[in-house]
Amino acid sequence: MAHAHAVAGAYVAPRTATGIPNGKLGMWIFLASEVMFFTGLIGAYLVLRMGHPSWVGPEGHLSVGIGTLNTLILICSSTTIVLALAADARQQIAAVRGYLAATIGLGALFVLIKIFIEYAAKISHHILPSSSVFWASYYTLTGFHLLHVLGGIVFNLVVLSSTATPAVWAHQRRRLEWAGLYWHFVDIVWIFLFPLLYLFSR
Amino acid sequence: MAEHHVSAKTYLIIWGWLAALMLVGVALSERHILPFSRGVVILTIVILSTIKAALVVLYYMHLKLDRRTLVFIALTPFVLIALAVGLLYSSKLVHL
Repeated sequence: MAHAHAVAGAYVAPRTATGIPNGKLGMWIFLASEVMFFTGLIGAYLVLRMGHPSWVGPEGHLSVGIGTLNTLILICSSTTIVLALAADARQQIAAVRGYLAATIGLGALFVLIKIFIEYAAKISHHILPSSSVFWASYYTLTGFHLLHVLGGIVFNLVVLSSTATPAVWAHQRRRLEWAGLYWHFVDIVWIFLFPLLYLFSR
Repeated sequence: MAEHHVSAKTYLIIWGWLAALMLVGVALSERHILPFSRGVVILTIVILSTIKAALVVLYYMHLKLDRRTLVFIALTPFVLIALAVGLLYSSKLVHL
């Protein structure tokens, strides 16, 4: 791979054998491994569920309203980060900053609702992972997803910090696309977890 | 940076579809107000979720406009998963 170099402030993308920037290729390979990780978890949940004809009764019902709100929040955050990418293509760094901040804010809102409303309500009713197989699955699936959301927020914060000066941004802007790919993946996982946990038990 | 030339308007239209399909799924799950069987509801919601995921992958992750190599990378885990599930169900040692 040829070295990247900057000439008079303009960033020149390094050439690669695949024609795809290495960072982007690495992110897609990482996401492919993440698909396998979450498929393992969801597969285990499905096998456990199908193996228990009675499964969980009305006590296993989750708040569809809160779940719907959180799904909407993640969908909005996916849109704001892709709008940040579009703003970057137009070289509007202030808009990039604004959309990234909105994405981080929406991600944080998802986390706060999950922890301080959903988890807090269950824990206050002594509903813990040890309560039943359903709740063990619920905490495992949503917990790992939550960790991924937190990871995405940190990634987005790092990208946001590099928008501080145009010179730094000129060299770091490719990271916005990688952060976006990761954030969309987190959204896709929730697109499947939401019906699986919230809607199918009704 | 990949210049994919997708307009902000397209992104907002996709947002509208994602939100609408999600709300349709939620409405369908209200089985006491809609005359659908549980099986039909689950199958429909799974199809809606797959459409939403496809919209995100194709438009927000730009796989529609990106290199074919990335499409193969994105599909690889599903091939491996199909192989694993096939082996699992065809095995005489595993009884699910």
